[in-house]
Amino acid sequence: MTHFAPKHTLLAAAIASIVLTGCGESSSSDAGPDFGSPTTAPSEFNEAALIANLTDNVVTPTYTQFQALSAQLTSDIGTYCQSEIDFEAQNTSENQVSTSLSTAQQSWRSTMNQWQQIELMQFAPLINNDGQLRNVIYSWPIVSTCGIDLDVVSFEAGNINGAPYDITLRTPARKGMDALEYLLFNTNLNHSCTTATVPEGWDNRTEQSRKIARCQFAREVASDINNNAQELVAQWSGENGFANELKTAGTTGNQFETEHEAVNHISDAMFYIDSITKDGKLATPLGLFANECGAEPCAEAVESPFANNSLDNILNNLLSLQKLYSGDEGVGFDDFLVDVGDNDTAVQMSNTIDAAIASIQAYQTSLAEALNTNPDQVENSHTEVKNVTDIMKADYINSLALELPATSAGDND
Amino acid sequence: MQNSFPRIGKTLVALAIAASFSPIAVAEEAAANNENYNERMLILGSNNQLRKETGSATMIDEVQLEKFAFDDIARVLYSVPGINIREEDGFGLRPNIGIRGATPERSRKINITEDGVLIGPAPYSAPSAYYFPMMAKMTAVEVFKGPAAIKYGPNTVAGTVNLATRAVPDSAEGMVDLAVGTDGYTKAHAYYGDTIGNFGFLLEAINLQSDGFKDLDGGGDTGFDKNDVMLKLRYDLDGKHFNQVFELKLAYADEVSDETYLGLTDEDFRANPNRRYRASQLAEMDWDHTQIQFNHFIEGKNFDVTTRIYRNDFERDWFKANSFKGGLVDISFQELLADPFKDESTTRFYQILTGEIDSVQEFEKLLIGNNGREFYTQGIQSDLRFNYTLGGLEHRIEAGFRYHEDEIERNHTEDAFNMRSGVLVSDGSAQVATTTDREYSEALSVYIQDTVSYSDFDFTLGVRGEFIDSEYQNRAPGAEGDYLNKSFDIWLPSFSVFYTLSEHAGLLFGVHEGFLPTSPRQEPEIDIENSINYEFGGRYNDGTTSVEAIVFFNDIENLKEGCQFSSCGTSDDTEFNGGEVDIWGLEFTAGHQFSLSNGWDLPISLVYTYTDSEFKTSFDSGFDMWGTIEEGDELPYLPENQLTFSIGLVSDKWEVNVITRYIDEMLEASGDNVVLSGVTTDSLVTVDLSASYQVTSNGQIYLKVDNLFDEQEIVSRRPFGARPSKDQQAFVGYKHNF
Repeated sequence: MTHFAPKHTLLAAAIASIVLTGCGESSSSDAGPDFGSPTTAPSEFNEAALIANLTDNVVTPTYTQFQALSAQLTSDIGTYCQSEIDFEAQNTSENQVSTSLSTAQQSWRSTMNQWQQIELMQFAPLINNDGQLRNVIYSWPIVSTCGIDLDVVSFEAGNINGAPYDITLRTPARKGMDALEYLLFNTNLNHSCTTATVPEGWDNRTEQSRKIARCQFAREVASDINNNAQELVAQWSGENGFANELKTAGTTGNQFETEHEAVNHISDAMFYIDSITKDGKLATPLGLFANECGAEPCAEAVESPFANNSLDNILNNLLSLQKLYSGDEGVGFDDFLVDVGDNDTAVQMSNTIDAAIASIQAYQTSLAEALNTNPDQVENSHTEVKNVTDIMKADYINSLALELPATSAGDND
Repeated sequence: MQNSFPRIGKTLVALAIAASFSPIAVAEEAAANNENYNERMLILGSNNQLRKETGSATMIDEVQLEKFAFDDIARVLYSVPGINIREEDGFGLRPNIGIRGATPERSRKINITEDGVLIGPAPYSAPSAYYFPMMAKMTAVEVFKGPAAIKYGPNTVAGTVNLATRAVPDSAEGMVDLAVGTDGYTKAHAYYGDTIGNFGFLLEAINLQSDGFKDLDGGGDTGFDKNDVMLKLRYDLDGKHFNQVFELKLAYADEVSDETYLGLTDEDFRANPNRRYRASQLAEMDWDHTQIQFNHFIEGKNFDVTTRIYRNDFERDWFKANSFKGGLVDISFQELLADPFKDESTTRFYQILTGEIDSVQEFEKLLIGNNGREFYTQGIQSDLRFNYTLGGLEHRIEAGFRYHEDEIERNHTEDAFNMRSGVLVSDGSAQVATTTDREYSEALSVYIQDTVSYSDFDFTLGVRGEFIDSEYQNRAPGAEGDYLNKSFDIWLPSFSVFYTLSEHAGLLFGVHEGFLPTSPRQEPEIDIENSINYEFGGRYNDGTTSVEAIVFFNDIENLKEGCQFSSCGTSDDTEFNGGEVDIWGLEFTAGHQFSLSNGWDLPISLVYTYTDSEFKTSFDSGFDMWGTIEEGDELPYLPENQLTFSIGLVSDKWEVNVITRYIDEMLEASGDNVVLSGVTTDSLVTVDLSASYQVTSNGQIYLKVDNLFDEQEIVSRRPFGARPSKDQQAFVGYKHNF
């Protein structure tokens, strides 16, 4: 009988051993003030109000306005195309064609200016899948003029390699607002291909035939942009839209565990002004960054080489930053800075944005021309924008306990 | 700032005192036997009869290792059931080893020990094993899984690989081994040792070189040059009651290898699997490792204590193409190589990578990173074995403690380069510091287990404690406030039973708690990996035939993974929670030695592993190998079936051995919405051949052909792009023993 006692002891010990599982651990930690990603606001500031104002009163109107403008653009290009067709049939005058082209071009500028504000409002619908939706609307700096020339002909033929032409399947570099700029503003009617593959039969066509072909493809591109704008608004709006995801940050199942994380998401988008506007649209053509000309001022490296809309693009980037920062007429990041007691940064941010806007508005020429004739002015604009981003990268994020996006983490300055 | 380190200090002192009052004092006369000491350097010991340990324990001894003389640990471990490996460079310079489904990335989930001491660069602070000891100098490899893992932390979710170096010989003994092979392979290996009176020594040195089997576009080496020197000094002190051994081990190793993280597109791989793009031309790993270890062994009649004091230093520079500079346009190498002709921009990036065109834009520049790191580990560990009888039952106690410190200092930098006519040229910009930090861990580990024999049963009950204090500090200027101190304690129980069916056969069952700590810089919200691991099986061994079959089931409460450059293309070591996961499988081994009528032997062996796994919850993850997980998805890099069959023919003077391996395809990613979703590696059959002939009583010539049929497949698409298994390589060598 005594032999059974150890057996029972072992069994009891085995059970006790297993019971230990999961309850035999403890932990503690002590983090420094700068450790990790801040998840809460540094004050009692009403971040929900900030998010609601920016989504409902700043972003949503900008998106919907772009949708409306892209619809108008499609219509205006359609009118212009008809006038080119009528002109070929000698049913309208050259003057009428010129007028309808000007209207379409102006419509493009209005739509592009609106888009340039959205460039600083790139949230989940636009940045998902490596920015797929953004790129099909505007893929700059990836633009293939030869690809556009090839697609003009493919669209006209209605097929590509035996398959029906479907613009939704074409690469972003061949469509979008940048393709429209080439189609509407490029006065050189020769194709731009320097490789073995060229648009079939293009060289043998009349100028009028080429204009009509480009215009008709432009209408298709504009229609595609409008469809994508509708998709953007659809993904943004409504109960399941991303605007609501931002506004309900911190609730169960929301991708943002706190409202502060949602505020950080909005703030991240504003840093476009640093890595793209400052570095890509000013430092690169100035030659501070490598460009097509090497490392010197380079007119070919501007964002809008055909429509010369580069300065307006930068201006609208800054206007968008101003609206997001100030909340337009509602709660903005400036109020947040004041709430945490950093009035100095609140004022400096506002003043430097104003100064940068004034610097861009002071140009009497295009950016490309200024690079050739007065690069100092462009350098000054770069400095003004850098003054804004220097504050954003330091006092702004530190005071608001925000995290610097990875795109601005490296010091490119 | 919280500091609980004094707590560890007090506990350590208490343990040291306890150890000093262990039953040594009552020990009686013991027989002098240095073999006991040598066996303590091993986990399993050298007994090849029926083992009564639970767990699928495997030992590959010197005789088996010499059959193929593999330099690559992966090729050795394919003969062990339950091992999952992701090959990377073909030579096994930086192996990725998992056990029973544990993710193989940089072997970070298993314990790797050399002579019983943790040998990873910083096993607690940065568990990725960028340093791996040179296989050529090892005389035994042991793999231990199951409940006995409790004895070998910190990582108890999977198991332990122990590598044993050569012991100091009892009498004068030496060897010279010289070999040459294809791809500029050379090997020079020699050792000499002796025991004179009570003093023994061993000096061993190895050099391995190869030009590499990959073809760098534009020319250049893709191989490696490795050195290893080891000195052991031993003093035996045999007394009336105790026998003692004092041993000092000093070792130095270095490596310069022209290895890269950059692989190929699938299309380029199919055209030439050994191609390397020009963007990888500056890739170089340069490290050196020093080791000092002092061992003390004392044994009495019914006990022995092995104490090891160790210090390892490891320093490396690791130059490699990290990424394009990006900015206006961003694309990772992984995305690019998965679909290089997706659009106009990817085509340009691909052409820059291959050197076909020059980089023009800022975002087209290439960033060459140097992940410079310095590591050290140091500590003391003591292991007691003690047998006693109580209440008529035989108890075998094993207990020990380890006080361990390790540290990693990262000094990562990046430089921007332009591709110019196929050559990487610096753009002249200043070097950028990308990561400058330090992680430090101080850990006290204790374990005790008691094996009680009752009738035909051997019951083993054990528990392990890990008490870890860690510190993270960002060392970048102005980042003094970016630090984290953590303390973590855990007790890990285990229970196992072995039932002896006969002299040659038995059944086993075991259950233990698996644990994987988080590294010092991980936020406290990142959970530890925690699991309950079960196994059941049986084994048979009559000396000529051995069979073992074990079914295992790992019930993981929270699977944890981390991002390194080797897996995610980022070096921030971010860790991710994967929730509940089940892994189960079968490990089967069988071996038999046929004795032919003409005196020849014909040994055969078969090793088969079946593994399956599934996530038990659905979630979205930022981890590049997971993505959007649906419940039921399988783990990445876990082949369902693996089979290794070896056969040999052995005479007095010569022997020929052939080993054939089959490895199933493996998922490159578990879920959707990541670059490698739905992509698998290729299944692979590899045949290796070795033959040797005893020219004289001391001299032997040998011939080896790795990958006899020159089959190369995609073994991984990480870190960036498709990577090949090693191509066919032939070696011929002469070994002289004296």
